[in-house]
Amino acid sequence: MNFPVINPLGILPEIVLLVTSVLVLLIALFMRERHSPALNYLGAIGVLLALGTLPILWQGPVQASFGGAIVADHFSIAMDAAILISAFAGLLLGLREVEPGSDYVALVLWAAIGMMVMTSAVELLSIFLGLEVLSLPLYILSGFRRHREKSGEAAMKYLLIGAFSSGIFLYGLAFLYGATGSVTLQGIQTALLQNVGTQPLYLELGTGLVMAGLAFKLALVPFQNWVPDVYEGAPTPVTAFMSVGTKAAAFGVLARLLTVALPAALVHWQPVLSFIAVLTLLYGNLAALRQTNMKRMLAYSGIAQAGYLVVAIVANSQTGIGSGMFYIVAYAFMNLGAFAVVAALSGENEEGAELPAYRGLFYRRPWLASAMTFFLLSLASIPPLVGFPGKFYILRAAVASGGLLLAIAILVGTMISLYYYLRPIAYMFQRAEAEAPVAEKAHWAQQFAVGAMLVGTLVLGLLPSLVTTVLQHAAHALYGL
Amino acid sequence: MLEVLFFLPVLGALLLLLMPAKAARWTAFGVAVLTFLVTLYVIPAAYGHGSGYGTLISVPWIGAWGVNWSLGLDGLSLVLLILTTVVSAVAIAWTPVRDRTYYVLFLLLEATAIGVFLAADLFVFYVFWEAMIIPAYILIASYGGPRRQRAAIKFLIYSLVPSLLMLAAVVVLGYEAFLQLGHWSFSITALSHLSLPVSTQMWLFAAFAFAFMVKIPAFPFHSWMPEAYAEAPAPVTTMLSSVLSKTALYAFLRIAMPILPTAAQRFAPVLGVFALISILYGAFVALAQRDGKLVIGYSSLSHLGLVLLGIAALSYTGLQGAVLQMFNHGIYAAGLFLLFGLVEERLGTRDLEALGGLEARGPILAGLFLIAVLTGLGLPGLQGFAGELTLLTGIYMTHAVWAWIAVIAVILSAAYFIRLFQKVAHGTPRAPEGATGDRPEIRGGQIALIAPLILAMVFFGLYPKAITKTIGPALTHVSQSVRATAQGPSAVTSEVQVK
Repeated sequence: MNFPVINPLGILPEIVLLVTSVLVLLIALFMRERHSPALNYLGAIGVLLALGTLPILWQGPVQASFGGAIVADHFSIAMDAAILISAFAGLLLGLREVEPGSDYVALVLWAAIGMMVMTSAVELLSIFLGLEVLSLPLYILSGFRRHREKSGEAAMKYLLIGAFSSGIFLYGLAFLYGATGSVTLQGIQTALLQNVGTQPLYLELGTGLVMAGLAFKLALVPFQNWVPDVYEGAPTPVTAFMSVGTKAAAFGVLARLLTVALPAALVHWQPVLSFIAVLTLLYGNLAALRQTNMKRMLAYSGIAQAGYLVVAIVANSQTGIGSGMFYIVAYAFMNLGAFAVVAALSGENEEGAELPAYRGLFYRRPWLASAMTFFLLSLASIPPLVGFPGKFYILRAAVASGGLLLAIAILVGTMISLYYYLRPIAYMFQRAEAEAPVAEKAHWAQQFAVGAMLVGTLVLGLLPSLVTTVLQHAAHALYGL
Repeated sequence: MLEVLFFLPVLGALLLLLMPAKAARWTAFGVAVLTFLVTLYVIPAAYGHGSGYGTLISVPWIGAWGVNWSLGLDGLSLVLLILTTVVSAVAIAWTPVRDRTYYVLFLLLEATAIGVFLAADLFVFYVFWEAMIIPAYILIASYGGPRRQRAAIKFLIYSLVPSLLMLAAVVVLGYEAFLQLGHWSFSITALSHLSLPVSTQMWLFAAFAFAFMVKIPAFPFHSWMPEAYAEAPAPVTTMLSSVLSKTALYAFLRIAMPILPTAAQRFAPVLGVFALISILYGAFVALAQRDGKLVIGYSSLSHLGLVLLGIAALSYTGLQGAVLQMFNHGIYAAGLFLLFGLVEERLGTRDLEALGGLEARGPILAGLFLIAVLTGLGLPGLQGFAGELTLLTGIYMTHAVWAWIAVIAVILSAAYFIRLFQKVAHGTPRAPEGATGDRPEIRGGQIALIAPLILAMVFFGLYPKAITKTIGPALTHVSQSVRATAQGPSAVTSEVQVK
């Protein structure tokens, strides 16, 4: 039997994370105190190291590992950056709310590895492998606060629905293989273009099922039902990590699959996805209106954001993919920032997630409240914050590809979203008669996370061109193959 | 130097964060005065050769999207910049607030308004236009009266929703530039050279006009105004009425009309009717108001409706009167709101039935207020008169009926302003509950602060030409672009025949 060439260079960031996670587990064995924040710091350092390898990979030639099943091209490197940022935030935020410990750190790192494998896989089975490596740790993480009933419920829901969606996804992959006789994305593309031995019915079924499987992860309507409960029940740091990381991974796979493997099936997926995008962004925004729990509100807002991301894919152009990637980066900063504030305000009982906790916050915690104001305004895509160029980029891609109606749907969604993004801000500037219960003081690492996300939100909002050029290159990787 | 105008208040705001709260008021005032001095310094830069901007700076901002950080200065923007910087400087120092954040936000509000007046790129304009809303919102929401929350959120929603429609229009214009020029562009000059089909122009203009009319405000989009004006602290109301409303009127002249001239032609009657309703509605409500601050607020609705009517009349004189009156209104509305704010602060109420006798106990304050009131009602020799006269002449030239209807409101304006002054100044002196001491007189510092506004009311009343001369070239450009399409194909064919 021939073993494929592994080429460790192509999976360098994944290796760094793996080594870190093993180190964390080993060190924990020899530590007197099992729950030490030092382990979180070690994990965070590992993530930073992995981030450090990305520029090296970017400059070199495209690295293919495992016989070409996993590729470190510009697209996957850029997506990895967003995933690593969310893992970094997840580790720092986890310092207080979750009992710090080796298992938490290792699970976050493993989930991140799965996400990164997903975005760099160019072969169906590796994609599935990545999906599972991502999912299993997240099932455990969402139930991490064992003594909270909601957390257990979240884990159970996520596990059942996640397992179901994995099955659907795998089923779809099988059909795609059956339709084209190939498991590599490039091979599927070639088979479709040459139209040799393709089965139209299998192709349609396969495309549909794969999209459905990814739609679960991306939280698209009608596969979004699990999101609010899981986001609310899971510990806030996990929710933060999961909301951004999973979306980045699922977006990466969807974009790569549709543009590399299935451009010939455009007529099948474009209208369906357009419809789903509109449904998703309207549903997410409308459902968010009624939420009084910040985590649930951000969960529904996340559904809406996924709808915007799908519009970027539907635009089916290099600009479209570039805009989607930019939006992921923007979403990473503003959404992680918002969750970081929620975490910083929460103690044991997640009191920072309830809307009344924000009443008069500006007068008690001016810096935290100001940061939250910026994050929410950015989510509402108000300039000069990063959400605005993000939205603008997608609108621009949609209009340029003839999707004026999609652009208008995005704007309608954004108008609705103003209400629920602005309401907490209004709360923060109310002078409260009675002090709302809020945890004493945020951990310095949480404050650091808030600050880092704020810097990202502001700097990229003012100077989006710092990354747009890079991302345009990254998007090119999907088309340049 | 143009960037300095914007960055100075921003840096000032950052500086304030490092200063002790005690020094905040006068530091902020210093920064605002410095900004005004820089505006004076850039006056020569407004005059270029021929039409177009006197000075234009343009640096790639988001190169891949065709967005340039470009700021331009011509006579039109200069006049409004002077208004902005003067009013901001006076308003920022007007009342002491024991909170640094107030001054930080105030400077940011000034900076973003300056940005709107300087923007020569539609994207840049949009960014400032939206960014302006945020400090205004927080200023109302955290420093306003008892019902400030509701007022602030209403202001916010009314401002942001139409802006998103405008965003669609901005993106589509950029794409049209891509189709016609081969690259995305948001340069206002470049966009005004596009040839857009009438149907596209119509909905783009509708999107812009909606956003602008909400911000002025004009009927039927004015319902955020009474609450926001009433609840905001007097200096913030001053900024809303004197400066922010002008950004919207300015945007009609700078963006909507040059870029979409045909649609401007077609929409002019609609705008005119809404303007007329604003004029009359504002005047009648002002007559019936018990709240003195809202008398001034509704007078603004009426007077700015007249400005909008002048724009909708599409004659050169109409536009000239419009800009002149934009400047004038900015000055006298600031005077009225600030002085009345002082009356409210000293006597503890805005209720006209509870006020009275100011003349006896605070003669200087009453005197200053009288000058502002007389300016507002358009007494010849003071600032309001020249603007109103030019406006009415310009409107009469194209729409005589409009002018006749508008004259009614000018008469009403005298009625409600005199009523306002009588209720405040005449009658028996009363000391309502909550009055601070029995000396409602204005103090030396505030006399010095308000003096530039009072002087401006007199100076520009006697010499309006200072404004009309400055705005001349820029307005010629605007009115020509609209009139060129008015003659439409016939004008083009006659040219061809000559050749």
